[in-house]
Amino acid sequence: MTPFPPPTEQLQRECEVFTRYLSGRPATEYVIGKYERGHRRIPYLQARGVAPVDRYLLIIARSGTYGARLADAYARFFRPTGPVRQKLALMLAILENSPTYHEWFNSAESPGKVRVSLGLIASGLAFMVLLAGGIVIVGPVHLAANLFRTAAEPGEQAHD
Amino acid sequence: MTRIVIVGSGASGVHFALTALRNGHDVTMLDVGHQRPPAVKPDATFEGLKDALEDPVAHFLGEDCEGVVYPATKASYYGHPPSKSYVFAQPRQFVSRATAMQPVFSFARGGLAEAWTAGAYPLNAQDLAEFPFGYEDLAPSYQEVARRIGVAAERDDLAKFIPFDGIDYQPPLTTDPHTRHLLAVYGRQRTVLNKSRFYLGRSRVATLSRDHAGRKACNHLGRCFWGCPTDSIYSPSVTLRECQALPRFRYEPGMYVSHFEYDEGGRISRIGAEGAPGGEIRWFEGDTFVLAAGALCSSKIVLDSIYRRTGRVVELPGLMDNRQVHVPFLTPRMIAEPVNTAAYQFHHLAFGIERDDPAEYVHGQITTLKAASVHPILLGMPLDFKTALTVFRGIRTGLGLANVNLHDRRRATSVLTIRPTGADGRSELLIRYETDPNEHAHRDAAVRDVKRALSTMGCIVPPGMTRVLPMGSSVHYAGTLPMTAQGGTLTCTPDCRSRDFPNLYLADGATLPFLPSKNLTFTLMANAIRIAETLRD
Repeated sequence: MTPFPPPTEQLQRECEVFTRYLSGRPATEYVIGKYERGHRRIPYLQARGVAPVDRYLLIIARSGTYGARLADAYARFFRPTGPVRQKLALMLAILENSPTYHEWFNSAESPGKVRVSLGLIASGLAFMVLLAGGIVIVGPVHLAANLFRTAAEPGEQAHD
Repeated sequence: MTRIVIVGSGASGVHFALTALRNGHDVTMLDVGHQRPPAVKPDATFEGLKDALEDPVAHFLGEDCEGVVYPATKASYYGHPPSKSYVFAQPRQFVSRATAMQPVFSFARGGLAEAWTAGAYPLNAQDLAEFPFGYEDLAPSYQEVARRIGVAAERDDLAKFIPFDGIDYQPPLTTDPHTRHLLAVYGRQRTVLNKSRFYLGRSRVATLSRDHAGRKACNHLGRCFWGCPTDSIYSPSVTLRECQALPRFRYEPGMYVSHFEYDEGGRISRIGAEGAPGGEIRWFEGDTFVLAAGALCSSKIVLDSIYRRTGRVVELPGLMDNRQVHVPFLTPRMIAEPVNTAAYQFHHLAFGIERDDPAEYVHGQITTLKAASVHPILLGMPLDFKTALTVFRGIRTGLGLANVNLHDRRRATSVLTIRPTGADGRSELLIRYETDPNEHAHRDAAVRDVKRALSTMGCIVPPGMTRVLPMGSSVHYAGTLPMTAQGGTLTCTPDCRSRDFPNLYLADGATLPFLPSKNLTFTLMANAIRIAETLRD
């Protein structure tokens, strides 16, 4: 059974959160319009259903920028091809090609090797903390869902 | 004057056509001919375009974002942008199935070389050792191709493997800081690297460093991958336009050639093409017929023609392709340098690794990261997107990719054939590739040597990121109707004339008896000129 696409308001909210998460800026109307249109072709909509853990990850991801990052970090390792990573890949692709945002992706100031190295170390540490947080928050749900594997219900799919 | 009918407008077809036209022949070219969309804002840089266009996302990703690379999808080899989708669009009549290979087909005006990265490497005498002719027979044609298309190169250590004298090259392109750094380090470490038989030099590229024949020199917009808007990167459609300006040339686009008809002696009388799927076949007559639709499609036309006349399904053994391996690397010395995306985007460097058996020479190209589609790179990093982006921004000026190519040989177990699908003579192409049992050893040795060389040059190869591409990704298909000195059924003479169909020439990779590791396209163009010149006699 093919999942229904999420309602427009939900997509807009999602786009706003993801844009802020990835670029630190609010979403423009152009970006929201592109996200809505691009979302129609997102691969998971062609799948047979959305797994409970993915629905849970989407709820966390939509909750705000910290939630998005936590869900992303967890999904990178435990649901790498799931809806969260697909949606974020779409968002990234749109942002890196959009006015206002593209420079953030394809240009970089030259703060010097020391600052870059320190920044990389800090990012790596932050990632590990987030991943650990993700494992604590999402891991049990994921485990439980695997233990009590149930078929996705159409009513639930209607939300994603 | 001979009436010549050519199938296909790719690199081989257009150079055959231009030579034949200049020798006074009458040429008709049949082609499906999907057309390149017009270039947008040809003066804008890669980044500038994103501000200058009203809808830049539609340009870079497509109207419905179909160019996005998703983690769930099997990414294509190069993640082609929508602006290049015309190159890979297939007509509905064409159906193929492949085993152990992921072939790429093109029915575009200009063929697959509309999407190439312009590597133009003449083969040397060792590469041609298994060919039924020598380097001296091909050298004048290499010179002619270089004169027609413009190739930028420099005399360097690679001249040991890639002929330099006797070909008029343009000066090399302006390089980026990362490339200059690698060249400088190579200069310092040359003795050590050469001792391990690794040689580095400038890529030979069919990209203009000087204005040439009405085309402008590369102006470093950084849009190479999305389609050079100034034709500084050569594509066969440039030569097609040159042919179209000549009076004895007739171009017939929208024609999907299905088969030819021949008599008892194998002499072809006419060749048939469909204008639309299921439409009536239109017939084209000529004295000489030339298949230049790419090794796979040309072979299918031969197989279908035999089947339609005799009811026999035959097999063509010997399919070859270059195995490719991508080795990404990081040059720490280049981290945190200023980013400049307005630069020639493709490879500036090439390398060669010498082997005891010259046929096993390993060839490769090095691309340093300039302008890029970022999201596919971030997808591959073992981090969340936010962290991956931070890391990427920090190290991007130090990122590079070595693309390693291996040679291939004809084997009886790699076969092309057809499967008839209906009473109307239609069929699907069946491709069965079997990897050389020794390939693993060659591949592992080549990758090990490349990693060692990169390490000597101060680069880091991240563990686990080396990627062996599926067979088919180099798009150097060859060997199904080989030229031989000895003869044999379904082979060609050294002049690429079919031994089964005496007025049929095969001008593409189908005739190659061996596939060296060097990029093939430049040689296909030269060989097409060499064959066409024989018609003068």
